[in-house]
Amino acid sequence: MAPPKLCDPSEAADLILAEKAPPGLHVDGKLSLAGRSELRRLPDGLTCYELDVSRTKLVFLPENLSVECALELADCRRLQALPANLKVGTLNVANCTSLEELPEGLDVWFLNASGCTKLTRFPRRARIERGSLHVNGCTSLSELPGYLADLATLDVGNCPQITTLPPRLNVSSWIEIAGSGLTRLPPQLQSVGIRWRGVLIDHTTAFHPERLRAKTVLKERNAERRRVMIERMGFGRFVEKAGAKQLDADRDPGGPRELLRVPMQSDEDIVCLSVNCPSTGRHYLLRVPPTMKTCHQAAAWMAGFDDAERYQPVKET
Amino acid sequence: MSFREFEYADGKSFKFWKIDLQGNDVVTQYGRIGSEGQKTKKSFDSLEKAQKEYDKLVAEKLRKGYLEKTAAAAEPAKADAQKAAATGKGTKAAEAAGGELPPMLFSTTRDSDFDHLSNFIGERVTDFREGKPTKGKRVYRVRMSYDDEDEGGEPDFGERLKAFLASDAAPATRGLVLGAYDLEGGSTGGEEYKEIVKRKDRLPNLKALFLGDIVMEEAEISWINQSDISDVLEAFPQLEMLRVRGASGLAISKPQHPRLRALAIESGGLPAKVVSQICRGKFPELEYLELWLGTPDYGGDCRVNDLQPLFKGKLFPKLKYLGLRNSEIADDIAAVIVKAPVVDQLEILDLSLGSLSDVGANALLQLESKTNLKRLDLHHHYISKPVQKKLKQLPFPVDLSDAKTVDESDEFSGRFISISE
Repeated sequence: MAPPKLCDPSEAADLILAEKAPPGLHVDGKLSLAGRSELRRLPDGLTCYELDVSRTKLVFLPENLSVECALELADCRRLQALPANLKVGTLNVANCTSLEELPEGLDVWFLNASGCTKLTRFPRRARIERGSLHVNGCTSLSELPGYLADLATLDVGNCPQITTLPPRLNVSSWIEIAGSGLTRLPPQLQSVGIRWRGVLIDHTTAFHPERLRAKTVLKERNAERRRVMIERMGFGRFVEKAGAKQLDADRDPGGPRELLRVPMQSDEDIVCLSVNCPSTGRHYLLRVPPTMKTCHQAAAWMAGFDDAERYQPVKET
Repeated sequence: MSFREFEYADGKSFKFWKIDLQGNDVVTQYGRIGSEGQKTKKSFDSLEKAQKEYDKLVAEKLRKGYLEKTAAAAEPAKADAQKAAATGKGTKAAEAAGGELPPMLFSTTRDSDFDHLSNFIGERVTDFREGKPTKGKRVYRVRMSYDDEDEGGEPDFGERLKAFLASDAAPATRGLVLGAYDLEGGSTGGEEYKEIVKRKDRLPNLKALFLGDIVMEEAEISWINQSDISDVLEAFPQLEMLRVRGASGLAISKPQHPRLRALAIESGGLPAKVVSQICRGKFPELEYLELWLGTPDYGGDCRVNDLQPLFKGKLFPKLKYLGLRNSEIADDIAAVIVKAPVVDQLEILDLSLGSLSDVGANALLQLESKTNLKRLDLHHHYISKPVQKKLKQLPFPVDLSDAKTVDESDEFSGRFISISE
């Protein structure tokens, strides 16, 4: 066998784009072809330490591709399949919206498949361990594979069909759950950090928001966490329990409406408009700027009028 | 009982500490290694109380990084001494002929408020000055200092380095420290050190090299320009220890060395590119690896994923100390490293000076089963009291000193690494 041709990354990139790369090309370092829309294929037997082919029109990868540290394929929207038995430290296939499955024999530490909306299932046999598994927004995915054991982080946010976690799964740092179907965590994960769109929250806020008390929410010093707690508790219940003061009241086609204020410690007050939809009769509590003084002014602001005088709707539905 | 003896070394200090329980008295003795030091005695009204104090003091020293001198550790020194006796020379001569550096001497920079090195590889650093006698010294520093300006004339780093290499001091030098080369802000290309590569024959005994003993008053760490250090590695195949401060312009295009035992890079931001070069490195003897990852604001764009080849283990089979310090991704590192095979080969894991919070600290609790670990260094951290308490239950000493806090209601408050300027 001829010795492999060792190439520096920029030389290799030129050869590949010109479709003149020999098979078995070895690249020393990080080969980046990100965003090169003219890239149609990678040479057979390509070997490199890192490969970034994000935002390209690649459909397939060569079966004998070898990447040691990281294979970046984010936003390759035409990508249909990955080579079987792919082994790499980090695999990033975020937003590869044509990808329906991951290859058998996959072996990775870090897998980011977020936004792969067509991804329906995991390989029967694979190793995804020690690093992270991120599948945020994989709306077609209904379960995680049973072989998952040790992970540092797990993101199943916006995976509404995922309602349970594998029985042997242990996660050392955090699990992102906002928009997932999870309603509880298995016993071995009781002390894991829980994230809600990136904000660390406690078990009660995550799974038993009905037990949240306005007092607890008002005592929370972290503004991001407080916001999530209010969202989880429900704006209406929070306003009611927090002792909101009425700033203004009148009627609109939906019925009576109110402008309410909840004073906050070391943060701007929460002011919101309590209204009923004239068409559906549903009740909404809508947050408005704390400078609002009347219901009409608040409704005008929501319609995009800074000057409330000019907001004179002919009909509200 | 008899005295238990502990030692500690870094760029500031080189000291011993001994303790003994004598009846109801706790007797300690401490000072610079090689000196008699001073003695203290504290008396207690019961053996139980004295024992408690004794245990507390020992635990405290171990957390701070003191190493106990054990019979095993003393062996090589004894062997050296015997060899020396056989050849009729002193121990120091035997060391100069080829004794290995004790691992204790690899770390030099405990905190970010560093001053110029006063100790390097266990000896006092002597500043080289043209025309000054150099008798008997083995650790030199070549640098420009503000004192030179007072003395008049226009000192030049290159000239001084040439003079050093031509002097009698060079052939005896075991440890070389290169300091500030330009007191106007270090805006040069980092090529000043190339002279030692050209004149490598003048440094046949060089074991340890520090490139950039430069303090804040001279240049911020991100202003220090470095260059490709591969030439230095290639020029000195006997080198055991290389420490570099500053990562601007730094590269290791040929990351290999047959004997290097310690590699340290201090920075406010270590480029992922350099990390990937190290992760492709061939350093079969490497025992000690210290990387200051820093913040993306100063070029430290390394993600935890980039460290995966290192975390797999086997890359450096002899690795005993791993320091991933001054890092904004300390929490991410903690979460992954607890599951990483590399931990099984380590004696010391050092995540100090970073922005470690409860998120990472909770993950570190899973190191419970790692009985190979002798110390976990987390000093300068943002871990809450309750989690600190849990960490203290780990079966090895954990350095939790220099705890920082964040005011969660202040949006400009945050978790900062030790050097982010």
